[in-house]
Amino acid sequence: MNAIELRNLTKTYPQFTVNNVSLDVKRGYITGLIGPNGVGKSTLIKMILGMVRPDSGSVKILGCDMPKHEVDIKQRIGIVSDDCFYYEDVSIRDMKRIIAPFYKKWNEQKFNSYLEQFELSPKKKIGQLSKGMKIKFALAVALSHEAELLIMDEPTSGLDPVFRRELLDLLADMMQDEQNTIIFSTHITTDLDRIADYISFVNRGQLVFSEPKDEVLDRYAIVKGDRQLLDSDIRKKFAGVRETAFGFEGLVEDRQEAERLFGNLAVFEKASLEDIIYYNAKGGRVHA
Amino acid sequence: MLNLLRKDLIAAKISLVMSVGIFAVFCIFFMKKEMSMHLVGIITAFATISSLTLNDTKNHNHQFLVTLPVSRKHIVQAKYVLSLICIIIAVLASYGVHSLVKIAVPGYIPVGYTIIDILVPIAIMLVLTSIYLPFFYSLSEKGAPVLNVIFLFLFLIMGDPVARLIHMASLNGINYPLLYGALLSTVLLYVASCYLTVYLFTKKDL
Repeated sequence: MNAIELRNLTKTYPQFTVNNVSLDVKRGYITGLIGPNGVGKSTLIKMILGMVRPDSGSVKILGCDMPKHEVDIKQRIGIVSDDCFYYEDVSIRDMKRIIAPFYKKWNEQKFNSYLEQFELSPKKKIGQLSKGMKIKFALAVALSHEAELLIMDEPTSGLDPVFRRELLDLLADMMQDEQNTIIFSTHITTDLDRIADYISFVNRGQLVFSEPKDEVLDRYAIVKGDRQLLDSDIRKKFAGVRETAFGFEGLVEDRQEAERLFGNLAVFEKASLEDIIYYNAKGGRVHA
Repeated sequence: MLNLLRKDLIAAKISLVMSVGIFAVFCIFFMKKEMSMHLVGIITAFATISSLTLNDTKNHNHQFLVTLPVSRKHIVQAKYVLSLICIIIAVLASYGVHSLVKIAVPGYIPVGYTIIDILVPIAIMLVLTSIYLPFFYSLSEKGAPVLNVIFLFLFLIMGDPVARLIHMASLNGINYPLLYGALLSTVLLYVASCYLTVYLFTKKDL
């Protein structure tokens, strides 16, 4: 079963378009939504949450249509974003007093234990919190109402490495319940290397692929070799090529095909998620 | 709905204290004037409504509100209900304070008050709020403070003549069928404005 089903989502802005995106986020898994900055990841998430209305297409969350069942859906989801638009003039305690009554399954004990774990003082005003602390507070809120689906938009961008690790452990804890699902948008791919089961790659407003992470990492490869190996036909096989005075380095989508093509003349390395983003974003030829 | 009203009371604590301050200052400065009761009620009501609405745009808070398990329709409806409560409280408080002063210090306030002195300021505020809120919810975060400044200037320019008009109307005798007709139209306008704002806010990208 899918936790999120996007069908033909399109949203056009004057200088940017999210174009006909269809995506399934599998229930019980962590899906990483990756891509460079400004390619439509946040717009997609905003469309999922009903903050941005798509020009066309449909969104289904936990089996219910958005925005028709948005109130019921939002009872069952938690949202953590790097832009937490809480009221700046109120304290953490008051912010909790605002948020908690909206949720039927609010767990006060859990919330207080997260505040303690994240070293957040209830008396502190939201405006006085650093970006990282705001994300911690958002996470405490999201994890305190028994959310089945956690939607995270760049949650680790403001966090120090210690809490980033801690966050990944918390997410792993949440995934102990096999019904829970996480979608995690980020351009910091090392986080996804650790925890993601599926990877959905968005580039220039389009979904490039959405597949199990291991399959992606097995399929893609970095090829290194002498520049003489490159001709116009060979170049077309690369998602992106970086050329230097000493040779080339490029990303191929199909490792097996590349191995057949180059044989022993090139070196093959496992591509990282960062490599996949970089070469796809740059495309064509990249000069070092 | 109740949770959204509660949210406003918690988030706008400081603004509400400021409204009490505005009420007190205007009472002190206008008390002796004929139209004091109307002006104090109207200005306090508008100051409270504008601070409550601005509070939601100050830090793009609508983006937070729509992540909660409420629909945009509920967010708008709650603001209309809260505005109505603010209007009634501000006008009644103004009436109460002026009446108390009139009893405590006979002759200090030169005019007497009738039901029209309560109903007309409420009606005026309902009309203004019916215009203000659709603009507020359809404008961007940058546009909302500009809208508040425009309305503030409108109040400063229009407040005194309107209050005089009310006073003259009450002196010339009340045409009750006309009054009730106008009040009913005002309430209908307020309800229609609420539906329009729900429509505009539902279509808006945040």
